[in-house]
Amino acid sequence: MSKEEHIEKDLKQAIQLHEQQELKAQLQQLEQKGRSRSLAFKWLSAVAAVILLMVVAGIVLLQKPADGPALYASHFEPYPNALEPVTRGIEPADFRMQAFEAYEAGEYAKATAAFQQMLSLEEEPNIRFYLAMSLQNNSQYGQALAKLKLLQGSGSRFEAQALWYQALLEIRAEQREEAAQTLELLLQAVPAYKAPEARELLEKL
Amino acid sequence: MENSDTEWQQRLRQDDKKALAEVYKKYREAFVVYARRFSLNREELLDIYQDAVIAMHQNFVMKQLYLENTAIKTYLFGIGKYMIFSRLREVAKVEEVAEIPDEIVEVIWEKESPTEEQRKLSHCFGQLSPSCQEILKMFYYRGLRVKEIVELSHYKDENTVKSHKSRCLKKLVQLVNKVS
Repeated sequence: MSKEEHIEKDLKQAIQLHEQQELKAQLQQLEQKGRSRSLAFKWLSAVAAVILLMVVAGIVLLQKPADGPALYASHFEPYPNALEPVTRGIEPADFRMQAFEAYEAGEYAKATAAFQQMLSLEEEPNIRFYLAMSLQNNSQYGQALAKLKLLQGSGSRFEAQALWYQALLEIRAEQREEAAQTLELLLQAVPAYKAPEARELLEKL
Repeated sequence: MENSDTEWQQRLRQDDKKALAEVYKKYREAFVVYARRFSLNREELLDIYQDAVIAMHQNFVMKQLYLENTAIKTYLFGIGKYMIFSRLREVAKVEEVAEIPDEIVEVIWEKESPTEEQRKLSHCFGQLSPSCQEILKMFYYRGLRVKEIVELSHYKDENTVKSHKSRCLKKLVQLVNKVS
């Protein structure tokens, strides 16, 4: 038997062995790829979970400031005109009457301008309170808060109301500690005014 | 038997490696679940499963196997089960599993240990050009006739196939002589 014939006799088994090794390597590679994909999937899942957590945390954190305005909105009511009764059908005689008529009509920008004009002529804590109320109703919250703070110890007959609205504006601005102090002050100074509401708000703060 | 089973058989007989990968992926997890009862870990089971898939594939290619009343899955699991028992016998664990009844009938697959000559030849075969490997594989491994090789390949006629095969064999002999 020649060398070539000898080789031909063994060639089938030799190629079978070669193929077995090739196929084994291919299947192992296939398994490895699957594992890498699975690992990549696990990594992606972990990254996705972290992103989801951050998004949820972000939403929670973003929602937190919304608590203040929500709490504010659920407690705020425009304070009525308790200073200068307006007589309907009669042309207002002066700035004072015009201001309160505008206030009662919900024309807060006009009322603000009128109250500011009055205060430019003469300081009057009660008018300053209504200026603050006009600003607050006109969504000028920062300015309203500043005006209300000036009313503490001013001798205004609306000091209790001023504290209440000051507390609400502080809650709206997420100044929770300040709001709690203002409410405590209100409860001590004028226990008869808005005490249940003040306690309820203190619990929520 | 499913249509895909018949189609797979046809493709496996033609040495279609994609069909092999498809079958491998299709039944891998089912095999691992089935074979958990045999006290082997997942790595060992996957190793056996790979060997079983290769054995099945080579039976289709080299013996032009036709499964008429058996599904590929059953046949494959039968080879796998036989291989598991062989592995367990090696580590003397067979007694503890021999009596577990199941629906899979073992398919005996005796692996012939290659001789030293065959190993050398296999190594030299791997050093041949891809076209030489391909034509020798079609001839000796798949058992195709010259006429069939012409139909399945780019060779223009039977004479071209014969002369190319002859040149490849000579090259193989040279390589074997070099190693010896």
